[in-house]
Amino acid sequence: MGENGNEKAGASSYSDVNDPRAVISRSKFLTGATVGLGGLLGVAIAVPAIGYVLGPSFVSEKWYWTNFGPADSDQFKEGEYQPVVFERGELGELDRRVAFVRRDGAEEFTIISNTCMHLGCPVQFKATNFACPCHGGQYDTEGIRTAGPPNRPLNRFEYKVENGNLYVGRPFATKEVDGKVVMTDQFKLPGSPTTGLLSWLYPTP
Amino acid sequence: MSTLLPPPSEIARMPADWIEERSGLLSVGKYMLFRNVPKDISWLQTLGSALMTVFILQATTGVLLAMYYQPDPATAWNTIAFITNDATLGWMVRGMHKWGSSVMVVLLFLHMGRTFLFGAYKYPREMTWITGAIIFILVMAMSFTGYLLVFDERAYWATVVGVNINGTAPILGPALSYILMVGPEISTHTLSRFYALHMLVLPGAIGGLIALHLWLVIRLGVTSPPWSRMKVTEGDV
Repeated sequence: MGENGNEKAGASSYSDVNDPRAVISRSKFLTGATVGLGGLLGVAIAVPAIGYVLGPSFVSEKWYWTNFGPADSDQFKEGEYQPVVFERGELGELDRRVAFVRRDGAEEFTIISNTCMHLGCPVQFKATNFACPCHGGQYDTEGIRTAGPPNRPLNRFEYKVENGNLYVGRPFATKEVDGKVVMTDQFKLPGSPTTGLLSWLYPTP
Repeated sequence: MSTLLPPPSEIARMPADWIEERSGLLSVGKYMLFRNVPKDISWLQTLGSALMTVFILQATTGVLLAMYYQPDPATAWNTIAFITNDATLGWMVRGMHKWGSSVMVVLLFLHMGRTFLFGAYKYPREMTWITGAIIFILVMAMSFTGYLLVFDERAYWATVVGVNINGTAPILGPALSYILMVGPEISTHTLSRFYALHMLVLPGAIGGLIALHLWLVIRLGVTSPPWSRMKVTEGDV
């Protein structure tokens, strides 16, 4: 009570700008405190909420090795692509992928993904080239772009041969080096270049 | 009797007076609806009201569609088929929502074109133009997110292409694609994310911006066409 009384008594001196104690008025202080605390509370709620929304987008995907059957099967021929439709995970139709498998040796394969590197439509293999129905992207038998809008060669799947079976894993971005396709160690979205200056502008999240 | 009861006309007005006395809402409504407008405005100035009508229709049919629709990859298309083929007048509700979306985009372009060609975006109406432009972007986002929800082959591949177009923006493009798809590829989360954006986030934002847009129209009034011969009087802008 005594302290309150003192404050009241001194109230007029608080509005005196020459009084060092009057740097900030009571109502200004309360306004600032309300806005400040409210802002802090807002941030405390917003930051986890943003993490909740964005976090799962950047968690690396769960991948599976899919068994393509015996590696010495004669369905995989040299110099010829065999389309294989498979489900890469547990989401059923949503996980359906298509790989074009070509034998290069006893346990050597070229496994090309059917995702067009322009905007992600499925490409088809037509005797001498891969072709995309959406915007006319064309690739040669190695998956190197020959015509249309794509800006890099087709993705290739990693693979391994275990106990005589061919297992197919993740697709990786490829780049063209001296007319040959080289697999990179990254997955990149269609439309993101893998060579030249532009490749620096499309970081993998 | 006549001394005990007020005349019938006054009795009829009582509910309205009761509301007005307590909330002032009737005056607000009058202020918003009974405004002076220039004499030489035409049907061209009704495109905005037409747009709001379509928005209300989209919201209503959208709520009706949500009563049967399930944003799950395994059942989404089946629930759409149920709405179209089995639910009473479901074909009508879905048809209105589908065609209404195109009508909204067409009207938006006409409304924007009218505003631009009449110079109605100039001082002091810049903010009306800016809020309208944001609404335009959000309506595009509505079209994009709504397209996936049918979840047939066309919806799937159109979304693949659309998301990858987002990905071709430098620096932030790939991250934006990952955020949209909830990962590097379309998954079950993509469908629910698009559904949440389409039915909650975007319509809420559009509704709020329409309110602001309308307030600005009411506050600043409607412009005469550029060929107007009306005299500018004091207080007009």
